[in-house]
Amino acid sequence: MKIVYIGVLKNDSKPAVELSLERELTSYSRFTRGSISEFTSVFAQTVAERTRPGQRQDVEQDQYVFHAYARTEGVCGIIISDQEYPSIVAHQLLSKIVDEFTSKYPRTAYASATTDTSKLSFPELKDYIVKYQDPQQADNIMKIQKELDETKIVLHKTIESVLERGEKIDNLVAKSDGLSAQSKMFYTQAKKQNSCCTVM
Amino acid sequence: MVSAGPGRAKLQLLSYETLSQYFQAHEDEVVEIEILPPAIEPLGGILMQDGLNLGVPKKTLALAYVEARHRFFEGMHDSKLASSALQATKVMLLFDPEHLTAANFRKGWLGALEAEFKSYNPAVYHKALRQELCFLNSILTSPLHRQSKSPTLWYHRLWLLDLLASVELEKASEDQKATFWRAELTAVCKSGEQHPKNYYAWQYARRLMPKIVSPETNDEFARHVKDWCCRHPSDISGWSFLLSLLPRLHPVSKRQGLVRDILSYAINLRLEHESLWVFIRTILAQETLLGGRTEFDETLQNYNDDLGNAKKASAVSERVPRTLNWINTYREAIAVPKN
Repeated sequence: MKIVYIGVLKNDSKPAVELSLERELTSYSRFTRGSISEFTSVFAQTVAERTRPGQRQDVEQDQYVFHAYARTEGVCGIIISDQEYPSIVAHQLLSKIVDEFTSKYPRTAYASATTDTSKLSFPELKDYIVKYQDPQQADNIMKIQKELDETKIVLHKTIESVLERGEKIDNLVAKSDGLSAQSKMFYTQAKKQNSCCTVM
Repeated sequence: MVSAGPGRAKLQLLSYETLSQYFQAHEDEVVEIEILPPAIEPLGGILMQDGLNLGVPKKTLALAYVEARHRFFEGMHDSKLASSALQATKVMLLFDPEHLTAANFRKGWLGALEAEFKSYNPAVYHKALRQELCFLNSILTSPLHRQSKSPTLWYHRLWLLDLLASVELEKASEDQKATFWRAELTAVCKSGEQHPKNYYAWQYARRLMPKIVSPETNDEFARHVKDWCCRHPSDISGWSFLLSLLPRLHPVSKRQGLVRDILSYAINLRLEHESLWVFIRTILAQETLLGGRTEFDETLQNYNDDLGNAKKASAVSERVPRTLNWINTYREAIAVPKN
């Protein structure tokens, strides 16, 4: 059970913009970590852009799950975890994070944010990504938020299934500005060898 | 691949020497080795190094192996070339961890060292044993998919550990002994993380248990493995090792305490992983817990009722009644585990 990425993204217009994020990639091998890190951001944006206000969804991709929760304020929380991490805990945590974020920053603080503007300070994420590696820590928030209904979480078995008709994940990867040439090659080769699990 | 010819021979030699030198420079340290995907190409084409992290392209490794194999078979029966053959076995085992001849050559060498040095210069022998353990740790706990569950290397480690224990544990304090065993468990857990459901690593841990006499170490192992399993609930190999550990704990209340933690963990987080539930049903059907079982039966029954009342179909709401059913069917059939 691990959480790889926690982020809050602005998703009311395309492309989605990461406002604050933390990653925990120490369990990845030293030389592939850089590419993995780029992929977390690109796929987090892809999922956030396709999550409607008020919607909760889980998108499985290889051995990862992207948990997404979008709010009417135009922001979306994304947690990337492995398949073992309990989805319900991830969603409880997303509620907590997005609540805290929106009460800290009014919409005006991020309305004009772009990929080039600096990230908003949200140091709590750093604590959460360490603390909630152990889902038992979520006991308290589980008790407070009993009302969260698991059946409301839409489950997608691949990232392709959240894309619109005609969209292809390969094309998104090829066009992405957030990926280095090396990472794109990494993706294509892993896919060719049918070992996508080594990427995202 | 590079075509045959003088260019390839040169590259082969260079690959072997670079890799071999890296091993030699880090004889006393545990390094982390990964096979680089083709998209990541090291500057200079041979290896990527960052302190204790080593990235090897597959091509480099294959070329180095060809050279290592050549040197090994050239030197294995020639006492003048024996040290070069020995050095070559490290690269060979990195590429092909099931190379029994190479592993046996290392055993033979350590055996000869024992005969020669154990009585009159034990420090030389001891150092060689420690370095061997570092080498094994580097290969078994690195993110190398095949190597981390190599039966040959785990057996090699078990053989080595007996030698090391006879040197280090005879006059050791309780604390030192505990540290010694803890290091082994840490290696198993790390390897189990690199390669999920790593039966060979956990089987190694199982073989360690009869060697451990201290009840404190038993307790520590059980707690540590329990935490590890909770973090990896779909790892059946970890859970079955924990099942085999529990009867070693005394008094029975300690076993019950661990099972209570696991059951409440599963219930609180509504976990549905099959491996976790296999653990729960097996431990509740066995007699390991003796009289404590009634309490757990009730907990499970209440949970089942709650799920039934919620009337929401989910993976858990099927898992729990099946677990109860299984326990009722097989409880009598499972024999008392002998300790």
